[in-house]
Amino acid sequence: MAPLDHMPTFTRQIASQWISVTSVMDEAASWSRSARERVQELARLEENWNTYGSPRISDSAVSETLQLLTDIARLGMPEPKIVPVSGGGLQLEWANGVSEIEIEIFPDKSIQYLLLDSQGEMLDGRIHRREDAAEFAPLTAWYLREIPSIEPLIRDYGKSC
Amino acid sequence: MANRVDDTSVGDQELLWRRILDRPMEWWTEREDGSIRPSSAAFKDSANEVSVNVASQTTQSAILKDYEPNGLVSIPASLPRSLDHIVAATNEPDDPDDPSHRVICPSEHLGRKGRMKAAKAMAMQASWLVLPQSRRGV
Repeated sequence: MAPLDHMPTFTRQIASQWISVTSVMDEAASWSRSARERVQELARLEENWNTYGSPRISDSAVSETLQLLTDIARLGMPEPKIVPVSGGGLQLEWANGVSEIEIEIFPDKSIQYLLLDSQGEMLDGRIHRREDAAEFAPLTAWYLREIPSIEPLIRDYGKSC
Repeated sequence: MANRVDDTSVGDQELLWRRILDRPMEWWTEREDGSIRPSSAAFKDSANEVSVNVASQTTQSAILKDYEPNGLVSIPASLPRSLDHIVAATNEPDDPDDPSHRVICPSEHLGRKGRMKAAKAMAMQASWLVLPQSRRGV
């Protein structure tokens, strides 16, 4: 018998939702540590790490990325791939075979995003305030397929960026 | 950044090579089918100059001589130009002595947004010539 089968219907629904919520939080917590370690690993790269003369990853980009990872984990996103960008920035990448998101954190702490859908349509823009999770919510909802199309984002959100 | 101009001696059909860093930087991403694609990070630089080599003026072994773990990808010169970039020669005194060296630079009016899209397009259309060391034989 499944763990929830003995419960009344309403209680079972609440418990199921809670398990779902806690499952997302557990997953976020599990990748948060490895993602932070990855950022710290990249923060230790020496000057000319790219063999093209790049400076080290900037402290400001590192601190901003660490904060950003915390915010994104809360939104239920899976673990991003984290790569260094020449010039001292960092980039977060997600791809699930259908949708892709890239978020670039620049040495001056500014943040840009790029969405790519399965049709090859791209949407890019700027995150104005990292502290405002509402700016990320439409991006993550689209990636997690809670919004079926990139079109509403282009219409309602992209123009403002 | 120096005042760059498009090097018209490099024709649109010429191929440009870019080295792709292997681990731990890992400028590549594994896809669901097991293949890999360069990251757009490989085509970005906050100084707005992405170094490449003109294929017809060098060899793979020369480019990878001191960078054995790196992968190598190729894009046609027409691609960055179609994305509002130029392919410029460099002749600063501190430049490496490499006549095949060029830099891909965004045009001045192209903002960060446009550069992200362009870098992504270049990464998506790049062709592998040499896989990064950690992916060889996988």
